[in-house]
Amino acid sequence: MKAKLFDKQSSGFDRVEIEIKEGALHIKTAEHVSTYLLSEITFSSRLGNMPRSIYLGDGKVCECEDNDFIDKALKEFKIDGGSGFIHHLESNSIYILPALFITISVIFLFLKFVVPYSAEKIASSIPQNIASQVGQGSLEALDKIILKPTKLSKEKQEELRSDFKKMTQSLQDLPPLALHFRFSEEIGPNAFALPDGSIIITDQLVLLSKNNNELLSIFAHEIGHIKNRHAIRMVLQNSAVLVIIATLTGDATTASSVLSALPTMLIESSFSRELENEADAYALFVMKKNNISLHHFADIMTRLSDGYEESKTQEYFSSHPITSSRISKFKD
Amino acid sequence: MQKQAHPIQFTGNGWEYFKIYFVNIMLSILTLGIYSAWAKVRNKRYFYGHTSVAGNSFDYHANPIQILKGRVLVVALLVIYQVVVGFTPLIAPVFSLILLFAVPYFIMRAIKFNMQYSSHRHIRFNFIAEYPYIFFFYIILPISSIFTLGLSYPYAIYKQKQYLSNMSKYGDSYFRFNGTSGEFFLTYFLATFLMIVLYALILSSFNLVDAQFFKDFAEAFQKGIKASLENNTTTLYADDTKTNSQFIMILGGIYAFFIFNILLFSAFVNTRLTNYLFNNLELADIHFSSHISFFHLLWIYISNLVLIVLTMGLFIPWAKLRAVSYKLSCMSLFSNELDSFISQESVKANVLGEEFSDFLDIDIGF
Repeated sequence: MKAKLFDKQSSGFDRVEIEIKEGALHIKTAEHVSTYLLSEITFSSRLGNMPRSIYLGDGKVCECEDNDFIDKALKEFKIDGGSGFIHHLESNSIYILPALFITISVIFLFLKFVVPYSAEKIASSIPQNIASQVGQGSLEALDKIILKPTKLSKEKQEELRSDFKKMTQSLQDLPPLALHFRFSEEIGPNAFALPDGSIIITDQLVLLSKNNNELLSIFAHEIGHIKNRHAIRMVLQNSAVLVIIATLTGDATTASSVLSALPTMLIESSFSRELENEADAYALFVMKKNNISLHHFADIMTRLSDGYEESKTQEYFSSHPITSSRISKFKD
Repeated sequence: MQKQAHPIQFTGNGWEYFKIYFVNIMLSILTLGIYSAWAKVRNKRYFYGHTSVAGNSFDYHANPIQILKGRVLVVALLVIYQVVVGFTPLIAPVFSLILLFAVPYFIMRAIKFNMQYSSHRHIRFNFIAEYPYIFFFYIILPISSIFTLGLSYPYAIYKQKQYLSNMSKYGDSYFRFNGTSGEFFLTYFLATFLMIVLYALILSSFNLVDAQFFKDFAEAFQKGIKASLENNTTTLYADDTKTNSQFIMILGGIYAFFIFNILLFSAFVNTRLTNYLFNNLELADIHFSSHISFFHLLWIYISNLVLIVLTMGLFIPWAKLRAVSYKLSCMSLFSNELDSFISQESVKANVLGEEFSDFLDIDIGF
């Protein structure tokens, strides 16, 4: 078989004939034959069709382009040619579908179970005083951009605060809770919670409600977010997603990091919907405990969604589950 | 005497590389990332081994264990940074300062690592750089270009490319870059000009006289703040599908425009600077030529992007191969003979403390 012999001292080479027999490599030049025992030389691993290097041990290298010839000889003399198994996987088209299938399912299982589970374990092991620091200052920041002081009467505020206190006093494992009222035309009727125990509700939502029990059901939902440390879990989960996506597209072109924005958004929305369901479940528990009829939550959510029918496909892009599926659990 | 032309040949095959690429990803995932170091070496070897000049290919010899060590070190540093800064935020500036001095060192080691383990005709490349120069060209010059409003930035890039080329070796011969900074200034000037023309065209198409666009935009932006608050996990309810559609469309349009912009800018700058660099590069009596076409490269970048989206990422290996294959097909080298390069291998073996430097030979590039 034709080959090239490099002496590694210079970039020049000799054209030689090689032969592998009787456990040895025989290299024939015009003048003489040199013999190397197969046990004393190493072969580079096969990769695509790149020429194979045979390191002869005395500093010289023999290069042969016929990969099949080398593999046949290695097999015959039972010599490990490096990553033969890997090349086997890489070169057989029948493995590629299973490989893609395994890759996709492992990523799926990891995102579906491992990431949320570990995020929950980590989040619940963080002491409350540290957890409270997450998102500190966000209320002040929001006050500057989009929230204005409340226009609700003092009486209404006091009434809601005292109902809120009554409902929450029997709840355990919670940081000190605080209710904040804000006016916001831009946000409209809505409510949200911060990890330190603050719950913010807009005047618009208070005005939309027909009775205090409807608002209490919403507070119960928000307490569910605080109790289960959702803000922290979301940060942890989203950073895990970033790491996974970066690992997958890491050595591709720069453009692909831009392209990964859509899958990232879809995964993060799905995480967020999971947490919404968890908060709804907690609201269910608190409402039952306080003898608040479940239809109150369904009522105000229906009014919020304005009878707008959302489709199942829209849900994939949304951070919250579709309202009809949320309220179906709140039937007395 | 007329030198002989040797075109650079690339013989990689899309389907073959596709299989290698996805086996790499699968094994990396199944080994929780450990195999990624081996994957990196196989990936690089595939491209090097299928690139040849006058019938002889390149090769890459890095030891995956060293790459793995580098990655473990980087991850450990990131974790330490996160933890320390998380608990004492005041220390962050100190870290940034350390990073400022460490980054040039890592750049230097990474380039050296990759050069040292690359070979052609079994003769190794090498990179002999000194830290103070790297620090000056990669930190001081780019930072000081802020004071010239970026006008001296092309000069910083020029000095970087020049230093990188002149400190690179093949065997015991140094590369020489004979270019001047003029082409760098011209390239960045033209690229900026191109951008300004593009922005002017886009803005005028929105009809500035009619302020409706800005009104729409301001409204959409406010909705965007609302949307980002609503999509926060702890919010009660997200009005997504109703209010967001307008915002998402405008944002999507801006996003697509920026992607196109980045592609255009990088294709333009890359093409011109790579061509200039190679056309003014010498190695002993060898000289090089490169004639990459800007429009052809831009076409490859854009069609790659579209195909990657349409195939949900499956096209990535083909995309990489196409870009590399096109660029290499535009390059040649000219020489009377290629057999006279002398290796430094024997000298290297005698260097004291090689074990220690071997340990430091970590590769930080992901």
